[in-house]
Amino acid sequence: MTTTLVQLPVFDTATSIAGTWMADVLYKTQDRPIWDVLVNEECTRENVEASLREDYNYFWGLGHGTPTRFTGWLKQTVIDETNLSILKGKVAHLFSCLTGQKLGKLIVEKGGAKTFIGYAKRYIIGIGVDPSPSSPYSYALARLDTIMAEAIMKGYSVSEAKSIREEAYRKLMNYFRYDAFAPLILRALIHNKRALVIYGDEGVRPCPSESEE
Amino acid sequence: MLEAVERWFKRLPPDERDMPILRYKGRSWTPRQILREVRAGTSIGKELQEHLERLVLGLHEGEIPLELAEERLLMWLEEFKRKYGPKAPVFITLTEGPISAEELIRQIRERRGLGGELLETEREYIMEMLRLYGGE
Repeated sequence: MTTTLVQLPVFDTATSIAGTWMADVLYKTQDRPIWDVLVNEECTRENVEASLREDYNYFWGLGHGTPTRFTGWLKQTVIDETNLSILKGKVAHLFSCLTGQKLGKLIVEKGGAKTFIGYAKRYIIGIGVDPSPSSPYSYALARLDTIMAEAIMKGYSVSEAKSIREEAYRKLMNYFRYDAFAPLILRALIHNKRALVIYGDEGVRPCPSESEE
Repeated sequence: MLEAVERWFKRLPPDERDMPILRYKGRSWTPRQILREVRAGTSIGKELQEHLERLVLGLHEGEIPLELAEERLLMWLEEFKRKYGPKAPVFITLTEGPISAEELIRQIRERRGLGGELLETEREYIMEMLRLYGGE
């Protein structure tokens, strides 16, 4: 059962890093037919709206964000105050900066989404001294988001996914404590951990577990 | 009691040992300065250790002064600038892409953008370092 729609536009340094590690999660879950993905030029408002009219429970989207807009390919607006209802009844998980400040609340309160998962601050996705997507720093920073999506796609509730993220955060902090770039990576991990906001029902479980399929 | 401070000092990441970690009697103190005073058995050393222990026991973010967070961030970014140059990116964010040390310093002073957000982050970072005193 396909329960998840993923938006994956890769067109600059930041989306390359985040996109690499989102793709890793999709690769790891490819043996189960639980997701469809829109990539690059496909990540437009029209395509996302049309896709979300189908029966998806969970939307995990990568994009640039502002307090009132979530974007797709080349920063085109995909979700704003005028099309919130496309997420009605769904769990919306926006891997972007700032949408948790205002848009996230509106998605739940006006749009009727069950839950919003996102960030009320800027999301740090890389450190300047080692910005390649494959660096352990990029992986660790992206992981604070991707681990929640992976858990949700495996059938965990939003609240359980949040706990799994907290455990991962603790492990990453310990792992990097004596790293050569500890002052950079530790600050960035703390920053991203604090940036998370969840609105709506945290008990919801949008995807079935393997045993339920 | 000296052992507790020595153990904490060793647990700290090396880059943290000369960064201000607490404010006491109107000035900032680094772990190395605190250790020196405690080792020397001075009265200020005793007070600093007591202050440190009190702080660790009932630790919450509100007790970390914003001036301390700002002082640390600016010191760290000046050092970053010296090592890698003013235009070298410190962080890459999903919205703004790479941000240089020079720009972050400006944002911290103007309390805006990622720099403004990092002030709050720094308070929790300080707490992480203080918690190492207890043995986590």
